[in-house]
Amino acid sequence: MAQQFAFHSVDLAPGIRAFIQPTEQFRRIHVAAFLHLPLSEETVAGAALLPQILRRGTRKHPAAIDLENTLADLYGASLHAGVHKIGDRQVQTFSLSLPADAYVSEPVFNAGLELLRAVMFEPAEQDGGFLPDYVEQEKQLQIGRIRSLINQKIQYAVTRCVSEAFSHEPYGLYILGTEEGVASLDREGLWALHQKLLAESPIDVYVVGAVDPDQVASQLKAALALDRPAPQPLPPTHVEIRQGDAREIIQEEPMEQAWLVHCLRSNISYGDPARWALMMFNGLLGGTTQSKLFMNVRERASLAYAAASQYDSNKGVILAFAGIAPDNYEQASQLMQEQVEALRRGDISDDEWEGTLRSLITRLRSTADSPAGLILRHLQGAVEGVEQTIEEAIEGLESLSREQVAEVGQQLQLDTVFLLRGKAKQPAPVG
Amino acid sequence: MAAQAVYHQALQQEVIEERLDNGLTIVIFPKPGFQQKYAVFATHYGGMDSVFIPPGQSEPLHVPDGIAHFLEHKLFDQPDETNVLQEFTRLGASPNAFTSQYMTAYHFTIVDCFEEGLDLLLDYVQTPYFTAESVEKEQGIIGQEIQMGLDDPNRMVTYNLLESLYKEHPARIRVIGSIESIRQITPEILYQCHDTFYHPSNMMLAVAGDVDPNAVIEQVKRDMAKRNYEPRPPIQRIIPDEPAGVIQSEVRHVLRVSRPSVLVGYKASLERPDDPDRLAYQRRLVAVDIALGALFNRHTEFYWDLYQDGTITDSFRFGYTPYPKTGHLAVGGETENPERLIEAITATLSRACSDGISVDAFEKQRKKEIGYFLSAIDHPASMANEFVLNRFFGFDYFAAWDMLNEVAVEEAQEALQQIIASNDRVVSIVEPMEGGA
Repeated sequence: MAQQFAFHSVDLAPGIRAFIQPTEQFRRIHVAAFLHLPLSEETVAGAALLPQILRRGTRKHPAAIDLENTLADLYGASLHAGVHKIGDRQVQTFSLSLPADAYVSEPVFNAGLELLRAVMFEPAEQDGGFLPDYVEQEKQLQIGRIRSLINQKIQYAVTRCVSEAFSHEPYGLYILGTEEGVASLDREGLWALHQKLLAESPIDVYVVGAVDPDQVASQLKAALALDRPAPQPLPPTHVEIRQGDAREIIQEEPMEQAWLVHCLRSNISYGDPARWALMMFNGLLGGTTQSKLFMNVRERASLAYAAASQYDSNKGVILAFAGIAPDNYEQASQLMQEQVEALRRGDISDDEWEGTLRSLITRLRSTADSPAGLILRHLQGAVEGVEQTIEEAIEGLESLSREQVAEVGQQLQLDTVFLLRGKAKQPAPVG
Repeated sequence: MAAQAVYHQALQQEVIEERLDNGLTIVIFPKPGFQQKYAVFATHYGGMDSVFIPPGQSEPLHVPDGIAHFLEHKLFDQPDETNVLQEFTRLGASPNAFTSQYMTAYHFTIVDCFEEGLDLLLDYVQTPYFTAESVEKEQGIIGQEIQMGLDDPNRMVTYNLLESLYKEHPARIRVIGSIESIRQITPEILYQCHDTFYHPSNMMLAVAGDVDPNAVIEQVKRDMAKRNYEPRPPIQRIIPDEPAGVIQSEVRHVLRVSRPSVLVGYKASLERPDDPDRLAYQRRLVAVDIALGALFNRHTEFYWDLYQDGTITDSFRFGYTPYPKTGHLAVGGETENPERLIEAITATLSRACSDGISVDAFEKQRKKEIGYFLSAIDHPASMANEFVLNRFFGFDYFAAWDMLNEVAVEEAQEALQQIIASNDRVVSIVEPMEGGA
């Protein structure tokens, strides 16, 4: 029997909502808290750095090693702090995962929740600010992370393509900010930003696991209800095609291979009924091993080792990419474009249609097997003020026609072609 | 052997196992409430199996490096010239495969139509179809995958470590092979490797999900019955003894990266000739894992001392990897200060050797490992993969739960000393290009 996956929703305090999913399916309990703020050049670096500083120590456990030892004692409770980009928002994330009390010899849930609260709300403090060492160290580490993006070539190429395509919108900002942005942060500014976020950010808290929903709601209230006035709700993501021709950007780095990325933009927002057609379009283009990109760029033409596409439903954007030999750039780029054209013409076989539809439905239903997946899916909707169950999403996909998918393709616009490639041709190494 | 069911009370996990007459082992992990069903069909055959005696022959055969991985790619080709990946997609399944040093695994996840998916999996893995044309095409595709690996600092720092630590042992072979080695692959050698290593007696099928175990076992039996396998003796793999010493104690490589990557490696076997059984060896590996966590994990002074100035970054990692008759410890990651990291790792290990491991840090790491184990049970696919890998090594995945709870700090201490006493140490460094960052 199919389980219903609808979260119990509870208001903990003004602008602080909890979503609870009791289930016996998992041996561990997952808790995640999200603070929302608009992506903006002024705050992006600071808001990304704050979770790293907060994660170092709390008022009660100011030394990082003490906090870690306390977590270890809770059977290796994991406590992650970081940021997500969801549409035009930057979302600070604090997530806790620990064994359900039934599986370990002493209860750990309440103590874990206490640590989560302390990390978010009660940082280690000195002279009315963060510990100077923590700020300086985390700044340096963050700069190292930003620089090391180049070490993973495909992520680097996709990130660069997005920042070029959205150079005049907040969405183009890299989620950790820039090196300069991080370098310019100081203790006072960071402390003030933290206080401002606690006062003004909408906060969503999720719990998935073997819990009693009423009991956990009162535990959450006790731990996470901030005494504050109701914050301003944030607007949904701005979704719009850029006027003008597609741009081509080529960046050269000393490397063996090349990565090619096409950014395709649409006017289709998360709440738009055409979203299902766009999701299907992406599935047919590069979402499966049966997709047009995989079959035609990789399998038939052997132009690429990897060829796929991904869809950001919050921003209405498709990113198609391929790992290619540098000499194949023009040919691969043209072939990628031809796959989009084929879908626009409605050139979709029965096998492609049925297989892609089934794959997308399988993925949607599989979300329920992963607490993190369930939470992230709900959060993406919450950002846009849209709540859709997995069943509704499946119905949306099942009711599609090929004409709708071809039509949605007409609305897509190739915005940016980005190529990351080797500076000079190097001889193949002999191994 | 009739099906045997074991219920692991502490984990609330049932395991059903049956070995068929042709030697295939089937394992099923019921996961009530899960939407996804996962199946993995795996052979005990990986990148290390480069010299062996094919069945019915007497002379060892030496095959090109990278052939196990190449075979994995080519097995998706069907005799009707289609690719089986598309068949899976039609069912809404997500199929994939991976090749490691020890094993090759073919798997899929699915929500509906599990029976059709399982039939497809069993059939394509047992139906080799290789042509000169398709092999040539694959040489191009894998050639690109090899080139891409050459841009990747994590891969390069590891390749260089293994190729410097091991003189003879096939642990030094890159699973993916090289441009030169994969050029030597032909359909004939592929067929020979498939015939040798894809016999059911060298394979396992594991299924995890909300399935009817008896129905799965019956389905597999029906599939196997029509294929008429003859019994086979165990495969004769030729694995040379690894001599003491290393090729070079330091290896450096330059790439377009923002900061250096470092791995410090020690070569030493934890397998002992006087072990009463494989579980004694497995227990030693469990003990070493906890010990390493007690030295290097986030709850140690070591970690926070080096974290503060970027000597340790998010990519810091450590672990002992066992191979037949040998193995190695590797510690490292991306770093702003390679010299300081190398020195600190080395000093921490030798101090642990002379002064012992902190009992408190050991007990905390034990608790962490117990938590990790529970999280694996929540990921049916990783549980099934881990179970299979352990079995190919002669280990018992679920026995590790009891070992985690029981193993004493003294056992860990002794095993760790055995590794550190080894003089076979290599430092592998990937450096940024001048003016790179």
